[in-house]
Amino acid sequence: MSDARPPAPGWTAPPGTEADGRALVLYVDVDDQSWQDAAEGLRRAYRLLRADHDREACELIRTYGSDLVAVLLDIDLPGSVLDGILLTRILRQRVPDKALPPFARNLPALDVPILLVSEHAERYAETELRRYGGDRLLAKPVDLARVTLCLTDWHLR
Amino acid sequence: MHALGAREPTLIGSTAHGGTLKSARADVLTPDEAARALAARGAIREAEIVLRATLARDPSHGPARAALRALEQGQVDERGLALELALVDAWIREGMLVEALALLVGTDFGGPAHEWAQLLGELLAPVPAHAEQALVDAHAHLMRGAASVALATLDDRRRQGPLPAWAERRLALLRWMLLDNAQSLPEEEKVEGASGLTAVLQDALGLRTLEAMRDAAAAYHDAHPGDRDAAEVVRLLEVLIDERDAGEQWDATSAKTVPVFGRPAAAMQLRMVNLRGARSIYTKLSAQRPGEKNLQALLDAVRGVMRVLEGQPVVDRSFPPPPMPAPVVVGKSDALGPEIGLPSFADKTALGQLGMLPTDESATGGFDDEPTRVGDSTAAFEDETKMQDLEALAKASVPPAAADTFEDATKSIEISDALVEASRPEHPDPSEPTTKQIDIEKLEAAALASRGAFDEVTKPVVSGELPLAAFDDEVTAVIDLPEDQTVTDITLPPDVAKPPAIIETDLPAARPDRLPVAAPTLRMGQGDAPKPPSAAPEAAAPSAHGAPGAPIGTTTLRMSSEALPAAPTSSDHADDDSTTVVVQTIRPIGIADPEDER
Repeated sequence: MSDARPPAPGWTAPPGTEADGRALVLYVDVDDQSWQDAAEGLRRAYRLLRADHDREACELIRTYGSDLVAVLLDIDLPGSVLDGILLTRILRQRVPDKALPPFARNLPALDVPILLVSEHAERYAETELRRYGGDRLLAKPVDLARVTLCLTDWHLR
Repeated sequence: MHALGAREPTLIGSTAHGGTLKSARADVLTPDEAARALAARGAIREAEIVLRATLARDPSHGPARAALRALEQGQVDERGLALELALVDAWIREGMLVEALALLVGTDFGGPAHEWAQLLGELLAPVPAHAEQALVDAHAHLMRGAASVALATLDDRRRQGPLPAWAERRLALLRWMLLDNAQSLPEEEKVEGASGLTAVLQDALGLRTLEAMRDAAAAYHDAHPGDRDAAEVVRLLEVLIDERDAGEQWDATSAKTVPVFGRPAAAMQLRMVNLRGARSIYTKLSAQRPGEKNLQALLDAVRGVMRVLEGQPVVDRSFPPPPMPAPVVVGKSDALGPEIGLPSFADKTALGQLGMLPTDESATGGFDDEPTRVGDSTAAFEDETKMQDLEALAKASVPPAAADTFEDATKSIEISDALVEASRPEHPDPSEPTTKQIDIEKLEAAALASRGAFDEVTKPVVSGELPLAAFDDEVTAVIDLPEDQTVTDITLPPDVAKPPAIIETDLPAARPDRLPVAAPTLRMGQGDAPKPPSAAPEAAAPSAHGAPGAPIGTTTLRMSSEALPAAPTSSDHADDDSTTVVVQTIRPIGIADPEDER
């Protein structure tokens, strides 16, 4: 319809997905296999933006933050300054800017579900992650039904 | 019809274990029960989502609220009910898509369950940010269990212009789930060997439009003009079509507010020819607004069509009016039966005898209408009430003495007990005659006292203190007594008055209302002062005659013939100067478990 908003300027559809207006999800993970699994599993219902380190994640959030319906963050994020938990706290505005690296300052506050994913989900307690602003903890590989169920629960709460 | 083609799995007909699914509705768990079962399996998160979705659909759902509160407090019911894939199918048919998805994620059904979960995951996925309002509304309806409303919203939106590709796909998916999937009714819901109007309607039902059903019924009526059900079904279907069209007009007039509840929601069910859903809504509405005739007519219309689909006539004519007493006979009731379709017993019914049935030709349309029509008059019920009043009057006219029969009987039982106790005076005087004038008041007082005595004698005792061995065999005890000596003159040694203790065995014990036979050589009227009858003699009997297992010889107990009115054996020898009490087979009664006493 007329009030449907076009994709943000400069946006490029992830490979293998169509720009048909599906809901946009940011997936931050350095592991290629996990990314491919997620892209394959979620593409039925979501368009995925991928960031493989913290700096790229912050850039995509600045650009597409208002278009996102969810953010999936790998907890470990090897090779990044900020791990998934710290990124979650930043996105929930729980860390003062002066304590952050420059690329992570002045990020928009996100009012969308943040799902933390991990290959070792059993090591973490979801209740603890919620204290940092996360909504759910998911084990890899992520699955369309589980992701949608988590987002549905967020809407129902 | 749908673009999904053969990719979509079919729940009906197969399970993870290859078995045929049973009726999806017959044994459906409630959401709170299913949530408890999920939690018992460890799927706490999914259980919570089931309950939240249920509350989003019905905020007044008390069991779901209670179950959610319990889950949030960490209370998990360990009793896990069996969860079956049929439950998912039933929930999808009911539009409970979120619950169905949670159930699929929280369990491992295998087979088509994974694909169903993916489809539901796609269908329930959030709409894009900044999506148009109609799509946002449709998603919101899905979230709160109003899948049919979401379908109608998407349908309406598509009529206004092309949908985005993702929305188009979801519309097709939703229609397939709610309508196409619903076409494959469970086997048991179809009438085996249906013929005539039922078969015609069932075939038309597959087209999922009321018009198709109406046309089929009309064609059948043309071919069978004598079939009253066909004409009635056509009329009922037209009523439903009018209601459905009215519902669509409500949609058009309320551009932004999508009707969810009440008659518009029922109209949407009619649009999908979901007669069961429409009946459910109309039933609730009729209960809420009993005075609204339109609702009752709609409910009757849906019920009538459903009855025909089930192979039954539109109106149930199988039961006669309720029989009632009829004091007045008016009219020629015997001529009415054949005309209005009543069987020959019509003249025997209260309505027939009361003349409540129509008596002229014009009124004998009769049972083409609802059979409840004949029950409008409440005169018969009033007569019945009058009869009850008469009964009350009759009861009130009975003299008090007769009216208190039961009370007197109770008193007589108490007196009988009192007689037994009175026959054992606390301080018997040998010179006092055993036969004395019975004073009712004293007996009543004695009856009251006997309760205390009974409580006393039924106090628990230690098994070792009981003459248990005496009950191992049949024992005959005959004790010789002087004629002027009562039974209670038997004097026992003082050491027998031991307090009772706790029963430690379930072996038989002595009856408290019988005196112990201490020893065959026990002399009467000697020893210390008589002791009041209590449990002590019984409890201490073993010490009176040595070891608990000591054999008891035969003793003749002589007494006045009236001494033991309660003993049946004494009456057998009432003519003798002395009475021989023969105690046969002392059975293990009289001492009960203290717990049972309470």
